[in-house]
Amino acid sequence: MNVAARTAVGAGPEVLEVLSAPDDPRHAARRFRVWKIWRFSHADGLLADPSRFLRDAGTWGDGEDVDLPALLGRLREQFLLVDDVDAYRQRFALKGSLLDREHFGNYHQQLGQHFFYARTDPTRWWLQQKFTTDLAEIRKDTLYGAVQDRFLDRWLPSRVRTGMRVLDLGCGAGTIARKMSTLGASVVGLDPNPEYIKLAAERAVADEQFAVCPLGEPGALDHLEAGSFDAIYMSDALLFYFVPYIPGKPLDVNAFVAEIRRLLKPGGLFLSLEPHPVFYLLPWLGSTDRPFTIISEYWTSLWRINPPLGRLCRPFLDQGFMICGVEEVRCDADDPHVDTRAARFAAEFPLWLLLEFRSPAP
Amino acid sequence: MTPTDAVLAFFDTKGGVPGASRAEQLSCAYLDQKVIDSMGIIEMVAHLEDTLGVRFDAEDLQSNEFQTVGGLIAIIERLQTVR
Repeated sequence: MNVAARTAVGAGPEVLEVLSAPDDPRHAARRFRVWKIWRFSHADGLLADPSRFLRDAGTWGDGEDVDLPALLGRLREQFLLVDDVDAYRQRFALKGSLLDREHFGNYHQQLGQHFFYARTDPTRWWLQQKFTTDLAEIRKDTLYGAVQDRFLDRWLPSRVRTGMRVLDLGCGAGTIARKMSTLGASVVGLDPNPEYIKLAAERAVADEQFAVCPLGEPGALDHLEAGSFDAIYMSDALLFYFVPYIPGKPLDVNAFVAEIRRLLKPGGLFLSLEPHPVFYLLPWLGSTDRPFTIISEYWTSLWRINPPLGRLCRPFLDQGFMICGVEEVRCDADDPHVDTRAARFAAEFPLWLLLEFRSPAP
Repeated sequence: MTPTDAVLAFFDTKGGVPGASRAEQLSCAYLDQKVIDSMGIIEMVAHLEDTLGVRFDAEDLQSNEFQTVGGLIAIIERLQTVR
């Protein structure tokens, strides 16, 4: 496996001899057996096994019996053998377009390219990752349910109370807003998707108001009164202010944080639940009971789609916010709703990070 | 409508394919030369499939041929022949 490039080949130990000395003439007369085991496993689900290889060797079949040139070709295809290191390193860059196969790109770009080639509707796929088919609830059978939903049900009652006024930014179909209104809060939910807002309004159970809002565009929140919220909640969206969904079209995170500060009452809370800056989408290695992973980048954000912790916090700290809460959100190792390997990995390596930023006093 | 006409007509809606001659236009790598962007490719595929009654498969979309105007036309002509 090339962990940095997220590629893999199935091969026996004899191939290690070739990798250690590819020009050794003794290999020329040998035959090798290799298996094509790489697959874009992310297509199975946003939080499916991200390791990109056929984990069950029983599914590999007989493989191919190949000579040395063919073996070297397979190894080069999967970047396990690299002839031109400089050219290889230049591949670690954002894709220039949807058809760019020279550059690895980041996760979102790779996913988008895969959907394009596979003729999959990405909008429908994204919807299916987190929510049930009717968008009413978070799916229990994925790590969203096992990690994020269970955490919110445990933690929200400690933060959201009767009488609070809460703004839910990127509220979708109102799933989290309903949790908060059930706890007695008055909730305003905003989302750019009119279909989600329509669903959210139809399903409101308590004091909830929803409106379509072009989040991310300048002035989108201008209509909201300053100092009118006790708390602002946002999940799985702040990352786009740091690693834009469309490369080359960055959003202004400092302007966004200034708006958050404007809208919060003094001492109000910005509640940020985002993919963990270290462990989100890292490969699941090791055994089920002793998982480990390998981190190939942290500060650079070439492959990742979220910022490192320092970058995430900086705009808030620069504008006077104080970090007053941190939770590294993990899975219950024995969650019965998800695959055991997924639960065990997410029990050890938190997949989400909850940060609470308190707005400064005037 | 021929594949050539359909493809060039689509690109005309995006400002046209650069080139002093037809040969130059056909050799245009429309993405590299920013005639359309990634969203435009998705729109282009849908439009050409609807207009010409073909369906590109993954191999077509991943080919180097697909990335030039002339190559795109050749793929469509091949798909129409097979149909």
